[in-house]
Amino acid sequence: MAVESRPGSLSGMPDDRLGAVAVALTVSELKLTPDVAPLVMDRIHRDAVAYPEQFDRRSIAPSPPPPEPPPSGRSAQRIIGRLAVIGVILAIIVALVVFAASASATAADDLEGLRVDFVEITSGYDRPVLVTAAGDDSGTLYVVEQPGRIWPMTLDGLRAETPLLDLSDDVSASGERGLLGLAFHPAFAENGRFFVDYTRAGDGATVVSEFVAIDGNADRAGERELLVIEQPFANHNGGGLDFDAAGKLLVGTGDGGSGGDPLGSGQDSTSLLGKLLRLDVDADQQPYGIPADNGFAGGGARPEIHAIGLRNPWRFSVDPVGGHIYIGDVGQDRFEEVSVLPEGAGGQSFGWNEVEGPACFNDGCDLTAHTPPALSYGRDEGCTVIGGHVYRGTAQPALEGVYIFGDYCTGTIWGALVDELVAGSAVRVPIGTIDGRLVSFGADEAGELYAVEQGGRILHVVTEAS
Amino acid sequence: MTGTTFAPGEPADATLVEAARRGDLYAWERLVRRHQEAVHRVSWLVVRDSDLAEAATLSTFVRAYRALPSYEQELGMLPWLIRIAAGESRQQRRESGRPTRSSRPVERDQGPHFPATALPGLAQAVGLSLLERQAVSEAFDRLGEEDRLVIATRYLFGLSRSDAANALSMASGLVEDNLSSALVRLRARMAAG
Repeated sequence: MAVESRPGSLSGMPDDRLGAVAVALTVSELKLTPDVAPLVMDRIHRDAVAYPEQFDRRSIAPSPPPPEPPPSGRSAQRIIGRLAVIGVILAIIVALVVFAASASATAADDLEGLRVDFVEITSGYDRPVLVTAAGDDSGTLYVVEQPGRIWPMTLDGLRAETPLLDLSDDVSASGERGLLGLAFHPAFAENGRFFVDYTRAGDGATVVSEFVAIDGNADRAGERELLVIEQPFANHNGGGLDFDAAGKLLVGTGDGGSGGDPLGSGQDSTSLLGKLLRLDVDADQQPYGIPADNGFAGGGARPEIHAIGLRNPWRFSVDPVGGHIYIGDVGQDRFEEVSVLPEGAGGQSFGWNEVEGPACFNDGCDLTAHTPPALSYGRDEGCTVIGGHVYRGTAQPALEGVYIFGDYCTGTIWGALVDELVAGSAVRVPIGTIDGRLVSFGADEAGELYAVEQGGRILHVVTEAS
Repeated sequence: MTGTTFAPGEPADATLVEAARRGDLYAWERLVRRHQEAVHRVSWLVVRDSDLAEAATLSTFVRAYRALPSYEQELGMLPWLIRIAAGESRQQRRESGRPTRSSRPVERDQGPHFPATALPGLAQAVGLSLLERQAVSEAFDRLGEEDRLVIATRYLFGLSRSDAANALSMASGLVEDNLSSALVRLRARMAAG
């Protein structure tokens, strides 16, 4: 269409303004930007496998399971806004440091000189994300590969010829997506039941399903879906599963992704995102029952929710002694944290996205309304916490009662005394460094701990010979 | 400038590039997330098709990663990515056999997407009638891709003359000439209706 010339109209507009308007109007038709990062990293990883001579060993490691996008423009503004309260935050940090220093004597004494080493028992797995055991006295470990397979393996690293389960045709596995979690029913030896958490191909939804193993193999067609949770973004899929001391299935869910929890899922009592869920998989109700002692069974949130306010609880574990739950929750811009949920003490908020670590994320938050982390650390020491386990084996007495966890980016491994964690006075002590990308810890039936390295290795955690 | 903002305290592109060159894939992933909106916009300006633009955005970052050893820091990451994106987009279009222009972008309600960030140029459109907006948008759409790209480098991404020259693979002295010619053609198409 022709446009008549008039003052202030297009024809009288200066060149630079006309150019800016023209391109902005055209580009503004794009309302969404695809997040290609997971696909890019997946493609690069495939290249590394196909053309290994072009990549050194470090660069073969694919994208991390819980990586974070850079802050969006919105969160950048938020950061600038928060500069105004930085003095208050610094004061809190100083207070915490002073508090920690005063409490450090016990941990420092008990953990003094403790160092752990990592003995490789096998390698060659395809992006492993988890190792665990079934509690059936079989001496078997199970390695979960992000692309969708679960492999039985002997304690000395001999892999079975066929997987326990192969979901690779049905799993979206890139970036933080994939087959992420596995937990065996407490009576697995009798009933063969086990549960998985994976990202469904196609729509990217998180699915928690049950399978039954018969003679070491589960039929793909025998899937029983318990939960299907839509994911608004590609990242922060949580993925951890475990049974608690009462035999209830715990499910860790991320806040749905992007950055800063734009949908407010962490504090949304109607959303299953950003939560620790607790399901009764032995109830008569289908697909699961609600445990009567769930944190919100009496109201206040959806009844399957046991705790709220999590951002991306990539890995959590249940202490076989005492039953407390230890949650490694990946932070946004400033703090990584470990939180403790004592046995039978659901109904708590761990803060996100009102609180990140020990400090407000949203200006003017009420810190007293949320359970503070048992431990936290800043970005100067790492970028992604990998929640660990309390050592309860017998082969390495120096580790008894030590909660061992680490960081994906720096490979630092810390120890903390579990009694102090529960009491809220814990201090973390660096006890080792892993070479490679730590993504998970797991325990065998005897309580021995293993570290999973994203490049494909499974490593036994041992005390360093003095 | 649009599509490349990041928070204070975030590592600079150069820092992340060095980390990525040392094998830190997480650093490359951060660069992808930092620049994917800009690359997607460039791709869409070239191919004018949602699927092709997304495919071109993906292949741009894969190709750029492979080319990291030859990347020169003084080029600047954004101009370098724009140059690669333009090439990848043309390649996608050739392989698809689709026409240069297609309909408006497909709105998807599934899959991983981020909301688009603000476009400063829209503020300058305040006061224009709907018909005028349509006229300028349609005229821009009928320009050749070279014209669209030279306008975008200067007025969407706010690149300097030398950065724009790097992005467009042309001599620095040609940028302003080409920009002027592109704007003359834009006005001519607006007048022709």
